Amino acid sequence: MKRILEVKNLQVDLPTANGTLRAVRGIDLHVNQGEMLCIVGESGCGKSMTSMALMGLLPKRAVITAEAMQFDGMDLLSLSKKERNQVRGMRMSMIFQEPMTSLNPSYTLGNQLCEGIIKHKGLSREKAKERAIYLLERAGVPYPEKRLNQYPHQLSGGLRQRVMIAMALMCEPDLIIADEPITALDVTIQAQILRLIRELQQEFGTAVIFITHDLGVVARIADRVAVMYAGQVVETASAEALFANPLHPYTQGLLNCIPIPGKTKPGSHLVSIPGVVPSLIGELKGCAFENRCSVSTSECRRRTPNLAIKPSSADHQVRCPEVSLSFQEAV
Amino acid sequence: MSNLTLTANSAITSLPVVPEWRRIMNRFLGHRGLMIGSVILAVIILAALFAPWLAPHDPYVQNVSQRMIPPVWHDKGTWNHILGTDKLGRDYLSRLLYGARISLTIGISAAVISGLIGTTLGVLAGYFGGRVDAVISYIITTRLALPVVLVALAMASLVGGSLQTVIVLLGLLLWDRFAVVARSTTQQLRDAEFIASAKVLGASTSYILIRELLPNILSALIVVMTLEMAHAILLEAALSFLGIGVQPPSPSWGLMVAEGKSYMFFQPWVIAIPGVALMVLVLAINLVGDGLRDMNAPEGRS
Repeated sequence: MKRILEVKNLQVDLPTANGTLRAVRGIDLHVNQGEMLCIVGESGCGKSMTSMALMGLLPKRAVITAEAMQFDGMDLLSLSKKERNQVRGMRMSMIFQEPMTSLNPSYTLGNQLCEGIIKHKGLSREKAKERAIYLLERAGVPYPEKRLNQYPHQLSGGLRQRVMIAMALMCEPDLIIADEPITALDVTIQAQILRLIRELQQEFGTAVIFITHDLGVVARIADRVAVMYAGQVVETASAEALFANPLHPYTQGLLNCIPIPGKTKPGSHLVSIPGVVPSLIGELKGCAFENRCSVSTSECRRRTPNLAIKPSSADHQVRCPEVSLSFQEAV
Repeated sequence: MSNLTLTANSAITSLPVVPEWRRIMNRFLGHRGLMIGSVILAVIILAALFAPWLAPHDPYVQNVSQRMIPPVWHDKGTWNHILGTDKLGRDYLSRLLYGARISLTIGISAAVISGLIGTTLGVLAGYFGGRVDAVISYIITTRLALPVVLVALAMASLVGGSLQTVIVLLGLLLWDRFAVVARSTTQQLRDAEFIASAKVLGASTSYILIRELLPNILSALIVVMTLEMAHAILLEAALSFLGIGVQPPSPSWGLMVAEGKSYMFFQPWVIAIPGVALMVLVLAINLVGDGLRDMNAPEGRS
């Protein structure tokens, strides 16, 4: 399978008054063509920072370094600003978390949908409108022709997110980054939008990086999963492998937190992972999860773990000193 | 249940039939203050535009034998001079009509100049933040620390008062509110996701500022513009009253008050008429400004 995006050792540093905040600490990611990669993690683990680094949306003071950031064979880091804008505008697009502010309130939907494709692909207004109507219809927006002349405030949140999805598909991108696209919607709409993203992703063969903190969502749509903690990928695997056999204590902890109807007794306390995320300012010594981990040993505090590959499946990688020890024993 | 879905469906089919202009008209007609304000303003603007045709006399022609004739409702008033004449025998109504031209010219020009300066500074400060913001905020603070009338007085007496001087001076002095409003509204929108989305699409900074941001802060700026227009008109009257604004024999309303002030205990209408005209104009502009603000407020949209 062709790799559409390949990121090696991406780091994002933000200078703050208290020292350098290392939001992303060397993550490796790849996305295959037409694949849904879910990045999961709690608030502040660097998942949004990663997506913003990919899209070039970080503030200027943020320092981005990476060994490689290749998009379809092109190195995003070495392209000129203009070329990068071309690639980002045409071949990558983004769906944001907050549908209420992701559309410009001053322009009609038609105007906003067609703008990009007219600018980047030189389509005529008529052709662009046709495509917009087609995609709005595919995204489940009723009366697409009428919507083109409406303003964002005339639409509900769910409808706006459908419009955003249609907009993301306008230029036939190879990769869409969806940064918590359903978090701001109510639960019934969440399910619909989730299904829609999955359907359209498969229909158009677009690769999607789906960023979420909800493992329930991941289970429904992901092909592959990367679990992030404190700016690092702690476990990555295909969705089936991850849910069937989570190896990292953090992943296991997250899965334990999900209440299961029937199993979780009414009135009993929900499980949570004790402790808080370590401060991301400065270097971390040893394993970042050590202070919250149920299986940590004194060794974990000293040795900074690397991603270790599970012997039986190359796709499944874990960053945990204890688990990698067990791998070595197995070999 | 089936009933419910039926009504819901019919509601959707009858969805967007009210055209945009109709909705704006309805909102406009529903706001009494805005209606009154814009009618008065329209009358004054028309009067100013058509002053040469409406004015019964030449506003500059003096006739000493006809001086200090009271207005028509007074015992000694005549229909020949409806609002009477001033101390040089010039027709007061004609001077009032021509005076509206001066007030409106100054109000509009000063508001446009200061609007351009203030909006540019405010948007840049709000969007870029950091050092740019620090420098521009410093300029705004400096400007706010200057007493407008004092600076205008000093400058006008240096350069010499004239219509152009007053316009440029007020334009250079009244931009602070534009800058403050543009800066804060820009700050609110700077991180909105539609701005990020435009960046993702590869839009340049100038495109983002002018096409994406400006239309969204324009409504707030239009309201500021009406207020600053009223402000400029009052300041012009004050400067002219003090003798360093528009120079005689131009029929500025402020100047008319100044010329009549020695008669005010015996012929109070000499200052009352231009005074009331000023008040009505400023009131009308402020009513329009308030009305526009209400119309633009999200609660006002329905």
